[in-house]
Amino acid sequence: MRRVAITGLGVVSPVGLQGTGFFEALLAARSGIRALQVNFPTGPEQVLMGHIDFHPEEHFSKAQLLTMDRVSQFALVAAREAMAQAGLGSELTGLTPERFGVSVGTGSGGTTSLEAAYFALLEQKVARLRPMTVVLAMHNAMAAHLSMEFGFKGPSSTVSNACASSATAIGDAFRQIRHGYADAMLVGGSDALLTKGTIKAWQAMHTLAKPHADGPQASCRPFSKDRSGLVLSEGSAMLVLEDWDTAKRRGANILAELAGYASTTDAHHLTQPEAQGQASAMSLALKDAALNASDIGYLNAHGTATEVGDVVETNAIKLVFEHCAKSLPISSTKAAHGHAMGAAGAIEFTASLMSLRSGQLAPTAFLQTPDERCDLDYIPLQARNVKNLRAVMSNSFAFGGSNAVLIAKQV
Amino acid sequence: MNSDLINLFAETFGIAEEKLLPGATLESLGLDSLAVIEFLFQIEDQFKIQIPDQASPPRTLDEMVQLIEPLMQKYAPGNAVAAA
Repeated sequence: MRRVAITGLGVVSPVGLQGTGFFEALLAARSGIRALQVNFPTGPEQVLMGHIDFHPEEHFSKAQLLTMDRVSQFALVAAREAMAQAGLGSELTGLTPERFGVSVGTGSGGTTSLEAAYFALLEQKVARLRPMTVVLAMHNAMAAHLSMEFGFKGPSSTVSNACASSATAIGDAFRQIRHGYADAMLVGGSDALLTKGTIKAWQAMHTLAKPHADGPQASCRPFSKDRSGLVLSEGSAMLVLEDWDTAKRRGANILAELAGYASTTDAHHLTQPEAQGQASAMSLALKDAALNASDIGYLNAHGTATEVGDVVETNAIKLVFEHCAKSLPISSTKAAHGHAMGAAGAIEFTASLMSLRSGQLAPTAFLQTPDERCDLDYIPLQARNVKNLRAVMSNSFAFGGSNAVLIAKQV
Repeated sequence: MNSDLINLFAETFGIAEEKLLPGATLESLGLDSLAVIEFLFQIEDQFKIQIPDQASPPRTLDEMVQLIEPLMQKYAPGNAVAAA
């Protein structure tokens, strides 16, 4: 099996881009969550969300924007950053286009465009929809835009596994390279789902956080006694994966090694997570990476700040890490960037990689009073510096019972 | 060329009007076939006209104007044909 190198990272998030403040914000426990007014047909409401103050015209021509949903816009901006860091820019220098693929995840695809179309049809009573409606809304549009922008002609796939979408997409691509089906893959995820319909649908599930007394920015509180639920957000993260020898040959700067991946399914409940399924994914990822639990020096938890989810994940970590569990530094960065759904896995794996490279662990923001059932080292409030960080793990657990776990290790 | 049409074209695609010469191909202006279809749709909405399906969509700015301008005159507000 071939080794897989990570050579580029890009992020678009409510706390900034990779190159402009993303990791710094996480280290400083600075939240991008706000309460914004949404004008529903029934009247205005203040809604907590990790909304990105994004200006598409700074990145794309008007002609491009006619055919590009917000979800693809995020993906392209993140991808440009990742490709530039990989030294690939507009040229796939040293790589063969037919051996360069794309594997991305999204929970909701072009839902902004789809909702606009439904509004026009059902509320404004238009007789016909925009000709671009289908290509704006289709889930694989971002993969197509990424391929066209950079000239990828290898394998292309789009995974929709709810909150595990992008972690699964990264893992699938990892295997494509490992087993020789591609030499390089642009991987990651994007979601842009802060639409009226999506917000109302999530409100109806009663899993969203309530505004906290310390302010709306402090409302997503994973592992806290006073957590009240998740906060919807949006964004994208993209990574460049390459066959190790190919990356070496072209002189790429290898940031880390993608060492292990596993996915499992709970087969238990649509929304209730199960510790055994999550633990199984972590154990299999460790086996895949040929690492022991004690080799993991940081774990970026799924940690959505729901009543059930945080406790189940804690129990799952204990099952896998056993006597090491109490000394393993763990955090949920969702407290700062919110839950970007299909993009969450890629964003959090990127944060984990930045920890691996810097030795700085982002804290769980706002974790003042832990839930006694969440009794692990969840790095409360303050970032931490560690030495000899060899490997990191990132968990993504989804509605539908899909679990995906990624492990990266030092070069 | 029809100034309303040119204005809408320039505004929709963010292209400077001085680049919109009659012989310019739409491809050279950075528009693919999907963008052209989207623009024809916008024209229909803006000017309240119906553009018949084309066997081959316009390739140049001039061809586009030739396709649309007669329809704009035919269906212009106040025009007897349109009122009928």
